[in-house]
Amino acid sequence: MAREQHLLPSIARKSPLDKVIVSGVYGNSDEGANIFIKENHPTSIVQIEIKSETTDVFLEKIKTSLGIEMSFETNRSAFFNKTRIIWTGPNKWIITEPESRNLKSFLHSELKEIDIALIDLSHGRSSIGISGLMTRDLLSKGAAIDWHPNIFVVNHSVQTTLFNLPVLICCEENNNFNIFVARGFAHNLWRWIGEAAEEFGYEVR
Amino acid sequence: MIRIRCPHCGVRDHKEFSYIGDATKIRPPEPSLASDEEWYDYIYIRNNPKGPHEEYWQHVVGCRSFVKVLRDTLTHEVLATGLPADQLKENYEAK
Repeated sequence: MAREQHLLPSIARKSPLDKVIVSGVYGNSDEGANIFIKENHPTSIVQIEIKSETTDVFLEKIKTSLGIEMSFETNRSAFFNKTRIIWTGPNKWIITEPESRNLKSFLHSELKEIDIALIDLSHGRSSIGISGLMTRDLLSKGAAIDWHPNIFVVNHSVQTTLFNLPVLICCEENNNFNIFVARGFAHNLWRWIGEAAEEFGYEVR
Repeated sequence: MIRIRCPHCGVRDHKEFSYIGDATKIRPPEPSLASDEEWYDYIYIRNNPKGPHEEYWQHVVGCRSFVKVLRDTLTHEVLATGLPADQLKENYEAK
């Protein structure tokens, strides 16, 4: 059965930045680029919401099905291999990984004993990766939150507005951030980031 | 710019929040038993206080939770924030 194999839809996922991304080095990059921007495409993004009384079972199931040891701490993310779970609200998370299987279908079969709501957002969100030495300086131009490496630590995540666009930002490694934005805003955000990165010199990968 | 501390996400600009309404109004606990006057009062009648006032805001761009905010209507100073069930004004005045 197709469901048990967790197959992807036969139509290939199309990136909203398909015709926008042009690889190359831009801006003030005489001494090399200090920012690296790329789109993580295709990415599976599934929102999961649980009832508060099922929390212990949920933790256990996430451990056995995805291998992730997560906690209920707010504004945190946890990962195992390439799969990451990011807190997005009380009893609400986003699970994401580079697209290789039907993640929603997989989670549905793994977590079917728990009362949960799963929503596949893969078609509706874009994931943009920013890394490089000046990443925090770049992002601080767009959002009034604390970007200090002691505060915005690895595996910390926030939901805020970046250049006035609603985003979910996750710090995956030091100076390596993953930004989730609504698909329709992806082009806008991409242009904003490019403009803000000009002074540092940036490379589109 | 008003800065509001979301109990889940931390301090953010007020533009991330949506104003919901007066938090001092309590819905009649037994809707079918409440009189027309009680409903009229709950739906339409609002005080216009000068000073600390409890309000509901929603962190729309963040965790999407409701947040109770104690705001001074005279200065716009946010005196306290908490979960919707918290008694902010009583705690603030007790300090």
